[in-house]
Amino acid sequence: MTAARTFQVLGCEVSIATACPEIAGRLDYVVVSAVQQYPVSRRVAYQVDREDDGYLVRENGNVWYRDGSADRVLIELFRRMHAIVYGQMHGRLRLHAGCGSYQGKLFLTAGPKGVGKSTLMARLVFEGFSVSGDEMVFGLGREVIALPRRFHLKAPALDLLPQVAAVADRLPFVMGEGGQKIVAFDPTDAGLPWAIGPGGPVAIFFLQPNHGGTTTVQACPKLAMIQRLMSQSLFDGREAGAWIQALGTLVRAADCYTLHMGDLSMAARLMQTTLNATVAPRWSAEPDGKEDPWQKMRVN
Amino acid sequence: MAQPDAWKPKRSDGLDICEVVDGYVVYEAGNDRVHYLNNTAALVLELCTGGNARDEIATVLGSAFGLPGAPEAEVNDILDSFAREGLIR
Repeated sequence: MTAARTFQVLGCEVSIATACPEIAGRLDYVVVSAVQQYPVSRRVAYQVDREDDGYLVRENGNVWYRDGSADRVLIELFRRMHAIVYGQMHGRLRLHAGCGSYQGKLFLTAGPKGVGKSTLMARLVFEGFSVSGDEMVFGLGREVIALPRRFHLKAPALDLLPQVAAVADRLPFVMGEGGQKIVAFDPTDAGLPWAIGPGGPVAIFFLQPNHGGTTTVQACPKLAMIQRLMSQSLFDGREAGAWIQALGTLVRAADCYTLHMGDLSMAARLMQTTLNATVAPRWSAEPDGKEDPWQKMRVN
Repeated sequence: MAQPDAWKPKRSDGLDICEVVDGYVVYEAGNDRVHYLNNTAALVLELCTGGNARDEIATVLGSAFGLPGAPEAEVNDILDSFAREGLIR
């Protein structure tokens, strides 16, 4: 079995070729099929070959990685691709958040590790939402763009996602640390479009775990949302003041909510209701028509 | 922190302020610290221009919020807190 795939990960075009059946058969773990509205500025090619008892990976013709495990090769390819994208996005806000839209209204879902972001975003795919990412967005001023990657679902999450479980046998996977199976899913697996482009969020949901309990949505003060998002974001390459300003730019234009995560179905319904009540981004305009994102309060 | 009555607090240099609807996020680069100010505290910080004494700040605040009197004790608490945190001098 041989495979050769070329795909886009934001500003990077990635080509992977291999004649190793163990890699070729699961290459979709790293391949991104999303239609992306972002200019490519770098191209990188990988060749994976057998070597003795393991695999040899070349990057643009140079030896880059060796490992005896197909799982490790796939995981390291995945990490490497993202490291390149992070490098291209150096100096931009990186926020751990899912990203999607409902009836044209873009939203983010942030929250601590393990709260169920990926599970929620996968569920929303089947609840009438357009979901672009499950893990990270990059700040582009007032807009964000999702990191294109298949949604990573741990095996127990499939119990909560019957539509994904129904196709799980044909989804790519790796065995993660601790031997846990991680299934990689994207909207095209459900026959739905998967598109990623820049947009301004009108709502930010901060997820709090309440597994087994009641699902509720509460308005969240913007100050508190910035505080929470700081714990879920990185801003490499620039001073912290710029990082806070970047977060503030997003938070100012969005309605902010705390979503206490009980069951997924109710979470989806509450998000629909909340987004239906949310208006478009609000930026004031100065008299000359130039937008003023800061709206400074002046009292003297 | 005891300050003379004539003290006219002034915002420290090097503060990076991000405004949101319910207050300020203030980054203090010198100490690499972040402060979260509610709207009242944000208003007090804005009034720390070096031209307003404490009682004048309290009077403005009382007018801004339609209070029956100047909230001097509250303003003093906020200013003391700002001074301790290095947001004003």
